Amino acid sequence: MAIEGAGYLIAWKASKKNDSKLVKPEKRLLDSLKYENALLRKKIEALQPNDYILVDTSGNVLYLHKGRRMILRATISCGSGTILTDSEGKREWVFETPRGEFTIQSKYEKPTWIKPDWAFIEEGKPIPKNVMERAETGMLGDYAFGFGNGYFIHGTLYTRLLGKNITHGCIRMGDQDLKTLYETVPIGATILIF
Amino acid sequence: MHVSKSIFLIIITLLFGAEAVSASEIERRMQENRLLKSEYQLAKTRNIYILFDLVKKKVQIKAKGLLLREFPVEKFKFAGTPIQPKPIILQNKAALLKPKRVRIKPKKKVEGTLSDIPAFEVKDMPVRYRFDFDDGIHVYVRPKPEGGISALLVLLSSLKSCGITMPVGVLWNALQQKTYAELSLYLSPEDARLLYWGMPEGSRGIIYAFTAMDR
Repeated sequence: MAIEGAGYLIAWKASKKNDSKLVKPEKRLLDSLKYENALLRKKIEALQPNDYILVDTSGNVLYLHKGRRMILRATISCGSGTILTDSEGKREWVFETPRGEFTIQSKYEKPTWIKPDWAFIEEGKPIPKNVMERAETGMLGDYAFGFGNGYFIHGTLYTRLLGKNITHGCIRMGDQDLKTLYETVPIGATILIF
Repeated sequence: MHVSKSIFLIIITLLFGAEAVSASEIERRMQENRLLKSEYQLAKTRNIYILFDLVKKKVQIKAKGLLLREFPVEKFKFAGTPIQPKPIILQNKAALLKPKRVRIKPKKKVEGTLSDIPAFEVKDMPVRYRFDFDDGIHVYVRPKPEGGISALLVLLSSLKSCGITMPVGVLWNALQQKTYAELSLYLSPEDARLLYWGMPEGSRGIIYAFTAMDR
């Protein structure tokens, strides 16, 4: 055992002598990797918004986070995922709530819905040429938030359908939750939809 | 005597082993570095992305670095070319029972009773499917086998993978000088449906499988 031990000791001393130059650069590399990884984590963390609206299209739930704390959980309705094609087969709409990061671009009180072409096609009615014939009041509830490409967070007359995927892509909310959202969320706020 | 010899050898092994640990630590940090760089690249965009973290046995739906939803991976199997943690694009979703979107017939008003309204919902999503990513990466999602038919289906899928798709895929792609990898993930049925829902075609993702690759 003593001979074996001496053998190990000699080998260990020899390896220390040979590797002494290698250990330092390896240590430096490890340290620099640790530093760079910590920096990358901080850079990713810096991208995270503090205040944001989070929309879960699978569960039809909206969360409002302020200072990374959830202050509202609301049952909503998201897109039905259905498809509509016009009678000539030239245009097609997929009624899906878009996913990704969006920004609140506008806020409206007592909004008027300017019905798009698909709303008339779906009802089998001719598409009006006069924009005033497209206006419909009361359909969007008391408040609406535009988040781009014609998509809105708005109220609904059909509150019994909240929690179901039934919309044309917009996000429908109940009156009280919509009021809270309107009073809390400014233009420019981030919406994350998944 | 034997005990003292063992202790002596353990101490010596620990002293010499320090070099090996350090090398693997560097490799681990380097792989982590690649993962973080890839994630930073995806987090900078306005898109939702998915992280298949096989080291932690989790699948995460993320945006801007924020964790939106997490699914525990019950079990996984990997075969093929080692996967680097770089951003990959979901090119195709394949399933035997792929959900179909309902086509609305004009003149039929959508609002009505609940049963009248056609919808494409999570419950309609499959539990057994395949995600085809670029770079020859295929992720098979399967429900955790719970005995009976479920276990038989998993066995048949494994046999198909090991005996047919994997060797054919490797050979075919090797001839074209391309990579090929198959990853099988076992999730709960509910999580499998949510993952299918949460990952539309065109989504980006990262597979992080550093130490997990050896399993």
